[in-house]
Amino acid sequence: MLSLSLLLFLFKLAVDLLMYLFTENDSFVSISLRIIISISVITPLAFYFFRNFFNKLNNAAEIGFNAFNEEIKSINFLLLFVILGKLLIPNSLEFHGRINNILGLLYVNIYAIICLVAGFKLLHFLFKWLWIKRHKKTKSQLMLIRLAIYFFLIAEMPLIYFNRTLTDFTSNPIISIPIAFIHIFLFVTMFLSASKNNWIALLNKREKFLLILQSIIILTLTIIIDTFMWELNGEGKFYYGLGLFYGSSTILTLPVVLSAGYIIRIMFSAIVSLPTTEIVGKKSNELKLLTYLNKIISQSIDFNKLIDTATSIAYESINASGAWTELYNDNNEINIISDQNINKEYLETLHKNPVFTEIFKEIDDFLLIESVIDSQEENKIIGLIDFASALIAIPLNDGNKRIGTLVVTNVDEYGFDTEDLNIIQAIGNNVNIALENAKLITESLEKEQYKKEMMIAHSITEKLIPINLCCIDYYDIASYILPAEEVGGDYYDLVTLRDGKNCLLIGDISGKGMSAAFYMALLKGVVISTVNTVDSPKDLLVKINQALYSNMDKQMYLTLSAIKIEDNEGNITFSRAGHLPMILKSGLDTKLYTPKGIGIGLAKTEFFEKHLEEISIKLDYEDYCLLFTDGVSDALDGDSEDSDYEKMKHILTNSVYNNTSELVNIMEYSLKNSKKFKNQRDDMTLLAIRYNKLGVI
Amino acid sequence: MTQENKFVINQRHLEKVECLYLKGYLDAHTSPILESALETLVKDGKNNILVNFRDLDYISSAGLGVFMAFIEDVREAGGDIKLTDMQQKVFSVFDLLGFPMLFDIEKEEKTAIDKFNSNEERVSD
Repeated sequence: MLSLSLLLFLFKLAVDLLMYLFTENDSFVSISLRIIISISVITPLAFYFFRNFFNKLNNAAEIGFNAFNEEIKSINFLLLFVILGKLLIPNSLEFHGRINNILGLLYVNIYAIICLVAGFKLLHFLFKWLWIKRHKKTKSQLMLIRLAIYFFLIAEMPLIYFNRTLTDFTSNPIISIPIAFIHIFLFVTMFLSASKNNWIALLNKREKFLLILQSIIILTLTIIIDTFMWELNGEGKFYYGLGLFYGSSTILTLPVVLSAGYIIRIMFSAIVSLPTTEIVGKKSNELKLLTYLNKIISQSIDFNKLIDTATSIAYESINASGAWTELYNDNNEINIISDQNINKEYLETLHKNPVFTEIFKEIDDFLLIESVIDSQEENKIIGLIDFASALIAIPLNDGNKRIGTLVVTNVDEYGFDTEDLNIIQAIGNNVNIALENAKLITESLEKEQYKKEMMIAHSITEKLIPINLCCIDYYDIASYILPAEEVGGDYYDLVTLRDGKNCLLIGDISGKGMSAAFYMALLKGVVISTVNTVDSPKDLLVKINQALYSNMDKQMYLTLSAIKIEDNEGNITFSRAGHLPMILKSGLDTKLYTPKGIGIGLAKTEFFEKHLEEISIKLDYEDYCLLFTDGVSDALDGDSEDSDYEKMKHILTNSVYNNTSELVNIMEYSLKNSKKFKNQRDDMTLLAIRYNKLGVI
Repeated sequence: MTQENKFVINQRHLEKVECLYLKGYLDAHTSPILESALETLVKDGKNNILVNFRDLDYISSAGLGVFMAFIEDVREAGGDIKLTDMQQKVFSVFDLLGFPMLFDIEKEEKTAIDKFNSNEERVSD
């Protein structure tokens, strides 16, 4: 576009030259030809400046203050050129390019091009910044301005044809008054359009001064150029000169008028916002710092880093002369962990005085001492801190626990105000929230870890406990286990002893979760390796205790009962290592069997063996044996004062069932309807045996 | 209910015996309180320990384990942990596990204190 413009410009020069040499300059044909060629030069130039106008304004670098400033600067230079260039227009110039030499003709053409570029640049500048800071009326206002430009361009044509003298043009009120009115109207439009000027308030002092200075320059320059247009005295060479290049005077002077309205508004805003610069700057600085703090808080659960950041932000954001954070621990020690421009050792020395320490420790909400000298007697001790004439201190809390104090000091008395206090409190609140967050994060991580462990523990125990006990001739056996969410450590098994006879085991490992699962695996291994070496329940329990006693934590133990099926006649042997009793239901009677025995893992082999009883029981036809763990007895009989398992006995004697499966189902039903079932915290395990003489269930 | 008021230990210092009075529920969640109380006593060389169960309403397997953790060390140091004043329900838990064979469980606090005193004399003789 630019090269096309240049090409056409050269063409125009050639035509002007030819006309100068061979024709009269003011003939109708020559004026028309000049207008047509001028338009053909201006059009690509306009395209060059306004191509993709609305799409180009997305780049942040192009819409910041620096861009604004740079643009004004370059426009100022161009306008200065225009003003200086005017001085060199040949004095002998007459209207319609009646010029007395070829050099003058060339100069006027080049000058017109400079004016055009300056005009377009100014127009683009105005459009661009109005559009960036646009409001709902901007679009229509810009349209109005565009129409005004077209109007003036068209109006220029008859002026060139008919108002041949400058005097006619400027002194004829029919022409000059409407033009003046339109100019005033556009000026006002521009003034109104530039209403969205909040951005100026946010500039810093230097930027505002720069803006005002640039505005004064551009305003001065535009007023000078405007006066050229209305110049009645002198030669009127400016208008004559531009008259040689149709359109150039409109393109330059109209934006000059428009920019005056815009710039006055901008300058006005900048001047008005000057006094608030400092407070706005401070506010935006605070905002930045708090945003930064928030970021740190959300990213970091590193306690020391958090305190460090908070202290330095407090120090920087309110222009303090010193800051530190002191932390308190359970042993009444004081740790000064983040010191900004404060002598840490000296501060520690001061803390040796309990009066000094108490001042900070006693703070409930905040402490604001505006002037140490004027403050209450008890706070005068603060004056011992290096260069501290004013002070703000706020407490830091981890949940409900007071963990420390954030302190900022100022060299000047009354150097802090309530605004500063608000900021420090905001920082303190952020720290407290961060600590709370960190705690929650840690807790949820632990919870997650715990859940995973529980899943592993569950899968281990599931594999260790048989799902179905296989049948034994003449005996009907059923089992039931309801694992708690927390693995409870209940265990049961059916094993074959050395003599080939069956032995039932039921047990409960103290502790829960992963450790219970671990000991269950250990127990299972010991059981597998010992069953082939013993013939009696007692020996089995002794062997298991022997293997486990030295391998268990001192406070871990397990209870285990073993029932051996001796023959087809209903003879069983029963031994109990600390486990709950066995209930025998015979006819309408129930009986508890609690042979002596210590829990496994509680005593050394000899002692354990010495105190372990083994009893023989003869079952009658249809007798039921019920074994269980404390999950069951707690749920059913836990509330009663005496622990004689009355509820369980009641179920055994007052329910109707024909085999162990039915008994277990009834028990399950009772368990699930018990009060304690809802928050079941322990495994529930049942083992039922019925002697069945017929050998068939 | 918080853990703190679910289980409470009151301590009484006698001439030769340290008495712990347990109150409330002693389970997996509250047993660390008892554990640290016993640990402090043992650390301070106070090995004659009497634990009074009068106001203890419930004890779980984890609670029982705590006593096992300390008894060996205490006895090696020439002291003992004696348990007294158990409610029937609590006693039967101890009983089932065979604790009466492992620990000196007395009905009354006085008997236990007397035993401690006579034992001290015997040792000092």
